[in-house]
Amino acid sequence: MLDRPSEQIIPADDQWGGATDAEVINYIENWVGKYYPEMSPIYKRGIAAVQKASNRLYSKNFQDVEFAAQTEFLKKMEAGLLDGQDWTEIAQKYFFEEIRVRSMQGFYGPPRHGGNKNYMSYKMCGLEMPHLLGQNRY
Amino acid sequence: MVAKQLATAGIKCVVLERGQWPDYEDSPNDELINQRTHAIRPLHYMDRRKFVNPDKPWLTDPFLNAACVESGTVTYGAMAWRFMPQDFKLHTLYPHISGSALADWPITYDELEPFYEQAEYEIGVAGDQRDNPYAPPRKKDFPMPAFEYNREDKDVLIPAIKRMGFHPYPIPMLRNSVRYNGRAACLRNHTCCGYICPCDAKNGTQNTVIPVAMKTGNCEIRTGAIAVQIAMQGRLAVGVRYYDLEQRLHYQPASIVVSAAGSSGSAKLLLMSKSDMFPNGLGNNSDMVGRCVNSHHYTGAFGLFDRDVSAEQGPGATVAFSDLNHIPEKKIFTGVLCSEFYALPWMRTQIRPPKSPMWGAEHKRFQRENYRRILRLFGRCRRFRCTKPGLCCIRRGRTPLAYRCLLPRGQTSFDGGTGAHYVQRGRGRPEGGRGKTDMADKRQAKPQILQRRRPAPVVFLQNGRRS
Repeated sequence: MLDRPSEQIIPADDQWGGATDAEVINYIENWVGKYYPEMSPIYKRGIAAVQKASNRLYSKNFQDVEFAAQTEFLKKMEAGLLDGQDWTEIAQKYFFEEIRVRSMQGFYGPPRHGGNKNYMSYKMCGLEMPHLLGQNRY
Repeated sequence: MVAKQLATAGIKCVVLERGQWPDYEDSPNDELINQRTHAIRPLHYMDRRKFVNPDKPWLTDPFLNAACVESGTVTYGAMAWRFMPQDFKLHTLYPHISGSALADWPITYDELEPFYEQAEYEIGVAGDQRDNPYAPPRKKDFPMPAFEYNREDKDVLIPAIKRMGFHPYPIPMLRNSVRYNGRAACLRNHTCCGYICPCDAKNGTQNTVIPVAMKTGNCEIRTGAIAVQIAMQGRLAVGVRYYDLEQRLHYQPASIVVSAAGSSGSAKLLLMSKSDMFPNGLGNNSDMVGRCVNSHHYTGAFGLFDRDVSAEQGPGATVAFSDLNHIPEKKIFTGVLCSEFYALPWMRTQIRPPKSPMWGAEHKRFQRENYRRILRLFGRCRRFRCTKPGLCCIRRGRTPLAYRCLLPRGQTSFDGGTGAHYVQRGRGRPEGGRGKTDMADKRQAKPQILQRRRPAPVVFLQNGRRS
C-alpha cells in the first residue's frame, strides 16, 4: 500500500518515472524489515490509520482512491488536518514525514538498498557515472 | 606522531587504540550509510569518530574522538589548516569578550612552525598558499602541489570572491594530489568526505606515521583497547588501565605515558584518572582540565544559478578565502569560507527555496532541473564557551565498565554580532542577498538564496539533523 503515497511524493512525469517505477517500495520494505525492524509496529499503526482516514473520507482504501484525491489527502495529512479520531495511535504529521523521507531516500539514494532502480534518479539529475573512477562498487 | 618519534628513536612503545584497522569493505560509497549521513543502519558501525556500537553499547560516546588507525582521519574531508599566529593570543587580541574562556597559548606560532612542517611532510599535505595574504608564514612549500580548481571554482566562485575584494586560494588537503609516500594519487571520485578512500590517497596516521613506527619493531598497536585510567604512584604515571572489546580489564605498565586522545578524549582520560594526589582527576586540582574547550560552528548558504555550475569531478571543496578570519579592529574573528564537497542527489532533496513544496511533482521538477545548478559556500566559524565552561564526565549504563562519556557544561556563546553572524550579513554574504549579489556573474541572473541558516548557538542543524 505504501507504494501509493510514495508515488505521490515522487510522481512519474512525461520524462521520468516516479517512485513506483524506481521501486521505492523495495527500499522502504528493506528499511523497515532489515535496518529498523523496531519501526515495524509504527508503520503498521500508520498504515492502519491512513486506511481508516481514507475510508472515512472516500469510503475506499487509500490505494483505490483517485490520484488527485490522494494528493489532497496527503496535503491534509502533512498539515495535520485529517480527522484526529483516526490518528489516536500515531501522529499523522509524523507518519507523513516518515513516508516522505523514506521515499526520498529510496528514489534519490543508491540503488543497492532496493530503490532507485536502474539509477533512475541519478540519470534524471545528469549525474555522471560511475561515481568512483576506475570502479563502480554498487 | 609521538609513537613514530619514540619508536624511531629506539624506545619500545605500545599504542592503545580504541578502534580497529580500517577496512574498505565497510565503506560502500553509499550516501545513506557513511560517517556523515545517518539514514540507514549500520550507520553506528560506520561512525568512526563517535564510536557508537549497538552491540557493544559501552563503546558509545557522543564526542568526536581522534584515534590513530580508525578514526575521523579515515573518513574526514582532510583539510589541513594551520593555526594563524593570531590564534595563539586570542585573549590579548579580543579582550572585549567578557567572561569567555579565551586564553593565550603559552607558545607562539613561530615555536610551533617547524612541527607543522614536519607533520605536513610526514603525513602529506597538498596545497599552495601563495595567493593567501593571510597565510601563516612557512619556511618550506607544501610537499605536494595543490589540487586543481574545478568548474564551479573557475566559473563562479573565484571570480566572485575576487570581485568582493577577497583572496581565493586552494584548500590545503591531506590528500595526495600526486603520488606521495608510496601511495597513489587521488582519483577525484565523488564520494570522499565521510568515506574511506578506495585508493588510500587520503592521509592520516593510519597509513603514514603508524606504519613507519611499526616497521621499527618498537611499536605495538593494540586495537580494541579502551583506556580508562592512567595509573599513578604519587606524582608519577606508571601505567594505563584499559578494557578490551570483551570488557576485560588490563593493565599496561609504562615508564612514559602519553595521552593523545584529542582535546576531549584526553580531558576525559585525565578526569577519569583519580588518585590520592589527584582526587578530582589527574592534573585537575585546579579544576581546569576540560575547560577552555573550543569548537566551531558551520555557517554558509546555498545558491541557485540559472546554469549548471556544479563540479564535473569530485570530491570538491577546493577553494577557500580567509579574509574574514581575524579583524581585531572590528572585534571580528570568524574563520574560513570554503566550497563544498560533492553532494549526491539525496543530499539535495531538502535544499529548496523558502515555502517551496517538499514533495510532489514540483519538488521533483526542481530536483531534475536544478541539482547541478546549486552550489554551497560554507565555513567554520569559531565559537567559544563562557561562564564556567568545560566538560563533565558522566557514567553511562550499569555495566561493570560503565564507560564514561563527556558532556559539555556551561554555556556556549557567540562573539555576538560578529563572527558567524558577520559572515552571513553584509560584507560577508558571499551568496548574495540583501542588496548585493556578488557571487553571481553580473551578466547572469542573480542567484537565488535557498537557505540561509542562522548559526545555532550550540549545534548547527543541517537538514534537521545535528552535524
